[in-house]
Amino acid sequence: MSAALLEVRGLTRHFRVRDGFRQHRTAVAVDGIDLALRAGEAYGLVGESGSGKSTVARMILRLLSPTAGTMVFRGQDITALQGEALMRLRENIQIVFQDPHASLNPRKTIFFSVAEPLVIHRGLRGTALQNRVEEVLEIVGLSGNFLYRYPHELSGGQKQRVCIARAVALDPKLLVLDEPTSALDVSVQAQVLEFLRDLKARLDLTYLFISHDLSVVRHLCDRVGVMYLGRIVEEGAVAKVFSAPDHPYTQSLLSAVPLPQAKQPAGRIVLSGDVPSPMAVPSGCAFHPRCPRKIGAVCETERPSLDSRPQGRRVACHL
Amino acid sequence: MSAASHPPVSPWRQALAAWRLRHHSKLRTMRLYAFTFSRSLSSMIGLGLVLLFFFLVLAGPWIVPYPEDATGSVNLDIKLQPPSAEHWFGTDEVGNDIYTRVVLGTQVSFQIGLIVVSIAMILGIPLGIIAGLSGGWLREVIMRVTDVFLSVPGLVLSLAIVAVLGPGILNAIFALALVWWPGYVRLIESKALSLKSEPFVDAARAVGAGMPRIIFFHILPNCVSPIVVKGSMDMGLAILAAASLGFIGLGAQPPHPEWGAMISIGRNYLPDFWWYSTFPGIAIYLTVLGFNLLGDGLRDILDPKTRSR
Repeated sequence: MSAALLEVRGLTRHFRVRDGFRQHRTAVAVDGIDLALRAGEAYGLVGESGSGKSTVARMILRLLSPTAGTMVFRGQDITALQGEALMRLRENIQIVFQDPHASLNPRKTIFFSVAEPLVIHRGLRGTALQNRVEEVLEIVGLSGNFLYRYPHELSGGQKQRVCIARAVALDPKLLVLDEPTSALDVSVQAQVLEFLRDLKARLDLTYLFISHDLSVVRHLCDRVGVMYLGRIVEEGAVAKVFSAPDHPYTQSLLSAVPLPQAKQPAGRIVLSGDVPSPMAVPSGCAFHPRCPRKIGAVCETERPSLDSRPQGRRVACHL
Repeated sequence: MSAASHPPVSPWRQALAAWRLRHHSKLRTMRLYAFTFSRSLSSMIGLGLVLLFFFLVLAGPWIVPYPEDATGSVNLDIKLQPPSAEHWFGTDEVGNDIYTRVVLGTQVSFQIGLIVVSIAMILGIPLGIIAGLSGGWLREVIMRVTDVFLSVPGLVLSLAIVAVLGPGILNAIFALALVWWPGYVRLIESKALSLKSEPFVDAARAVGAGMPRIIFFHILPNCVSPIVVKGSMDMGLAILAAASLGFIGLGAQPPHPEWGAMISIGRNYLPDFWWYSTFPGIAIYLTVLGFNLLGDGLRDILDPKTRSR
């Protein structure tokens, strides 16, 4: 087992939400999560909308400052990096967003978007810049024809490849993929996923892959963490978690995945109610109001810790 | 493809070809804009009127028959003559050629319009960017001051300012510029606010772009369309406002050839000497119409989402 590339401890983010006139309430988007990414792995972070996945990504990218917690990247505390050190960090951690169209400046050419990190960090210009941009575009499978096009002239898959090109232009170590395929057509999704898998091997990358699509995570990732209301409830190797989930929430999630056959097997666990509001997180285990296997008062009063279990798994449940 | 069979390609041609390759998409977009614009009759009328008046601004002094009539000459023997072959728009109460004064008045009006709109942009756009991107108390201060200005009708406020400063063309420009900038703050603030949270701005921050780079490469280029549209509309409105100030005697002073002031004096000679007020009035009407149609046309091609507003 190789050393952790990125280690996150107790990462927490609160948002102040205006609620009526001059009243503020606190929404807990991310609630003290621990996470360790090993170099070279693909870690999938799954959860429903609003479970705090993207907030985690934005904090790791230092686009959003955490309310509490620390982040350590390659032995260096990056929680409060500033100036030159932050610039060095940005070379090593990059992100691809969900919506490829909105991630590209509509008034700038593809060349500009891909060249931007190279201009900022490497000070490249002229022919050197042009060569490097063409090289990066070639890595993602786009020809030089696209250099002077505008985003609206490209298809969704092509735009996402441009975003990936921009993200890998500086040879980062860690690539955060924030639902990179959910805005694409299904046929293009498969292409991009295959390409991402191939890219990871070629450029020796580590992925933090954020998704709500379990089958995509199963296809691409080595380990998976399941988030519910800002907390990680279960973590482990993809094969293990998907074949025998321990946490009741993971069990119900997996039972909801449609299978490619006409008659769906029985035994689907249907949860009642909606995800509680992050402004009023339930006491104890956040999942207890909807849990089909709640064992008693302990679930309502005591927050379960993310305990280690055999085979490198961690589960936060009183069961 | 040997060098012998083809004459050597000149470096100029090569540079041009490279430039065209790089700007191919942009050129195509421009052609599409031009095509869409030219298909709209009202847009073309607007463009034609604005171009006509710009021609008068540039060529005015050389095409008018009596240039000295704009600077206060007196020919009482031909005063208040109706339109004729010598005096197309007739003459005024001191015998000056109204055609000459209307054409030269174009310069005055356009100067006022350009200066007012430029000052409004120079003040309003940076303030709007600051307010939109900063948030917090700075935004509150800028926007509340803007609201105070916007809550008073612009012309009324500028009237009060000129009344305090004293009548005159410079004071009129100053007063109009002072009431004009808040509109740009509002426009740019809302635009910057929505652009700030766009993923492409986040992506730029993630690759390490600093504030100046984000403002000049990511925010401002995406604000150009609404600025161009509003600038065009405002040219017409500022010219109208300046003429209004001139009309009530607070703007340009006679014998300065300013349309509003001309209408104001000509009013005393209505209805018998109708040509005195009519022709400057038509000039105002056509310029304002031209800029408004042009602005509408530009909005249709640059900013089609806001068309229905």
